Amino acid sequence: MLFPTIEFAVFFLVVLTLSWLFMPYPRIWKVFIILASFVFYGYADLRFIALLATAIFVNYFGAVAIGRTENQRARKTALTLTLIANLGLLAWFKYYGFFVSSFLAAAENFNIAPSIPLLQIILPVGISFFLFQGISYVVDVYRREYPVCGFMNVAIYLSFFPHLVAGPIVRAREFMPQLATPRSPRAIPATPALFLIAGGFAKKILLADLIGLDLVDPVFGSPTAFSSFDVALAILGYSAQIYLDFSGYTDIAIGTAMLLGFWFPQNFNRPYTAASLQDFWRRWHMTLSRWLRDYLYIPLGGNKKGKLRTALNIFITMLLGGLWHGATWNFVLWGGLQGAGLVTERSLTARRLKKGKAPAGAWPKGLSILVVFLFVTFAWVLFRAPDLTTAAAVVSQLWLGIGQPTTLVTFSVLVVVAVGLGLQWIPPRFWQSLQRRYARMPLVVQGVGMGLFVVVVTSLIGQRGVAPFIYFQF
Amino acid sequence: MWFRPIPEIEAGDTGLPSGTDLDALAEASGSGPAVIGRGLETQISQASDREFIYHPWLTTWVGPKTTAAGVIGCVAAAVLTGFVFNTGYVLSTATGMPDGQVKSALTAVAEPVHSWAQGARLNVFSDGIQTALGRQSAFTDEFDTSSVLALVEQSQPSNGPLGGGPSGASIGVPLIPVAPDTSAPPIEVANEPTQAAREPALLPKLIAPYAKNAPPRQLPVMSSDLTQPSADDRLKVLIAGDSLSTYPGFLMQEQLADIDLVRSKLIWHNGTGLTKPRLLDWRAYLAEQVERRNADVVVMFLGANDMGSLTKKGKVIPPHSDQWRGEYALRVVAVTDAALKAGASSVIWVGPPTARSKQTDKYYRDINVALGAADDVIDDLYVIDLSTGVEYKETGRSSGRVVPLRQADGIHWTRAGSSEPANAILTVLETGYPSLAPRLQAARAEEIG
Repeated sequence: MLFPTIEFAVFFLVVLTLSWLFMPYPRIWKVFIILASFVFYGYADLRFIALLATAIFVNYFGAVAIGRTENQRARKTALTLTLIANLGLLAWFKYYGFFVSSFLAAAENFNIAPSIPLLQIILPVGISFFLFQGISYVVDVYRREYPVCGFMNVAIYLSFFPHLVAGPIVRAREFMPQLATPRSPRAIPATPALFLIAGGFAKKILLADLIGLDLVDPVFGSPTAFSSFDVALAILGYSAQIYLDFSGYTDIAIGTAMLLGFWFPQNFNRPYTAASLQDFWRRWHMTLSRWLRDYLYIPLGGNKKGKLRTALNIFITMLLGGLWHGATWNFVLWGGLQGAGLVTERSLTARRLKKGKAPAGAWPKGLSILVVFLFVTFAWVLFRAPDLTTAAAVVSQLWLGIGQPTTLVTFSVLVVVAVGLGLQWIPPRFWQSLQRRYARMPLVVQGVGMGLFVVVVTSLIGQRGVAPFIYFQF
Repeated sequence: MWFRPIPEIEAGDTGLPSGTDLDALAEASGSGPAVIGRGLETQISQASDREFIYHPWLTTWVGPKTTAAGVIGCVAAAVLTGFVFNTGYVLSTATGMPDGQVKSALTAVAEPVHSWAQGARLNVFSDGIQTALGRQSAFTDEFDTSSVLALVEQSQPSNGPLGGGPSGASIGVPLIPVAPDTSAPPIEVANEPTQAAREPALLPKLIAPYAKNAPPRQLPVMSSDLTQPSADDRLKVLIAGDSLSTYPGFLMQEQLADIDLVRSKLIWHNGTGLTKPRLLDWRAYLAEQVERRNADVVVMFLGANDMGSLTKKGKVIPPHSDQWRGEYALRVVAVTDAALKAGASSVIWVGPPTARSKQTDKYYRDINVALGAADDVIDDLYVIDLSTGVEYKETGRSSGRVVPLRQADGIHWTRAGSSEPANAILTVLETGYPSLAPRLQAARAEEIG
């Protein structure tokens, strides 16, 4: 089920009401919210429910097996088996085609033709997100950072519908305590939660979808058909689109969870205002960054094993982070590029510190922000292009397309891209002040206002419909 | 009572010293006062950990906080407002859903509310925005085909299945003229004077020659009297359709980009089709696009989203019936006729390909049957049928490598798979524009084995 749809509006109103009605009865509430989450997930394809249930069973029993013994060897074995099960599911659904086609291509070079079927397996929505949460839970139990939890709690933790299909990636120790007692029905910050939902809705269907449909999709579909200016704006436009699309989704997720009484971690913090690449990754998809840090970078040794090993660890982490996004060489290269960028930046900063200079160098902050933004924006080309050939064609069209007639750049597209990127520069206090003024109105009037806002947005987009969120494919 | 009050959590429950101010501790943790209970000590002990970062709008909120009942009231007010002031949108979205219980339930609610809202002029707000943006504000799936009934009545199924014009090449093999299929029975033209009376009788007969026995898969041959392009009068190809048009359309744009006598343009609207004109009225839209772009040839990819009932004069025509196929054929005729009247010289219509899912494929087969019938009505419509008698193929070999031909949904082509429809279209274009034939042949993508 997509968030910005009529089905979800009806679903959420029903679930919100029943959830608060059942809240004083934790057992009933837990059964109810699991069922609601399964309905949400199985709405598009019932078969996915079996996968989600499998993930819950695997991680619940895995954690129980780890937690029931003090024997380190047994704990390690249980952890390894649970990780294999999680990663096996991920590998089958997400990476089978990639690895088989890559293997077949490699075998072709040696004149070998192994008969491995190349299947196009339907990628279940959000599989990476809930499996990553499962991994974080069992690893935390193994590390004795969090105790073994009951089956119902694990089921809710993995399937809770606001974060189910595209995060944020919530950790057990920040979510499970919220299941310990009923949520308080007396102090819900409704106005900012509603602003998050309405803002996410507008970001997604008013801005991101328009940029995608009118600018980015045509250029990345057929780059040679467009002028340099079209291509340059499409590259810039994709930076705006992916931010608006993904942060819009997580804003809705955080807002809906809040209305149900649950706190989700922040996932975006105005990422294009970052003055360094490291800063960017602390602001972009923050919950994935910390997951990679805690469950990949640190286990690899982090920064505790010398400069060279630290650089290698950063590079490997980003490379695998890239592969997490999708099973193509584009994502691997994109991750590698980010890793190389981070390693270079770290090395330059260390050199400056060694010489007793300021870590940020002599550049004005504005220039640093611009450089980081341009680096990130150009790296997105690899992220968006369906294959490396198209990515190369997009970049080369920047000069090959000089002189071709510009067809995609219109006033409305320019405005939408500018607004999409400019939103991040509006100070948070502006929105907070707006929310405080809005909150002075009676609640029902606030609701009517939000409804009218939705009417305006849906009327503006006409009958275009809602495109799937970009991050659903991951 | 609406909500049973939840007892306050005592400090002792958390394992913290008795008398601890829980709210103050929770506030200090940055988690907000809503986070209470036994897990609190875990939260608080890790309050300094930077992983617990919540959205600043929520954590720094100093405005009033709301009760659960208030939240429910507020959300209900928002949903109701969004519904009653925009019932046309809701109804059109509901009717555009795949057939099923959700669609039935939502439509059953939306229809009477829409009638009431229209009477009360509540849609004036959303309609005003639509009108200001130059869009039609009507939300209806009605499709008036009365203007093309005469065309259907005049037509003869001269060439049998899929034989609108002189038929020719099997896909991927040299052109072979195919003799007209005289076995197809002629359409009996109803004599009733009123359109309402003659239409139901006409529709099943329209599609009858195509509904049984899969016809051979052939590519159509275009008319031989088309104006050949020149430097002063380039051939303008408009590629249009739903999401299925994207990859083949992109590929075609690249294929045609190097031919200086040809200009191509791709326009697509995801999720649209002829069963749901309120999403996009393709007849009006295509005519406008053809006129604006001065298009000579229209390449249509439409039908893959048409997996549902049709609405005709307030009645529902269920899928997989002769009536459905006949009505669909009429709509194809109407869209094609509009494009031709707007200035196009021919329309090449690519039907949805064989799908992996048998259920989906049943619809696609019907659509290709309807396309075949429409093909017989209009001479300048050329149908490419990639479904009838064609097995679904998941992968193929390109440059010796195994490549996926379809995306994971088993419907959309991949970039590699797009070469099949794109090459088929170029082959058809060659027949109409022999002056471009060598260059069109050179532009063809590698055939996937």
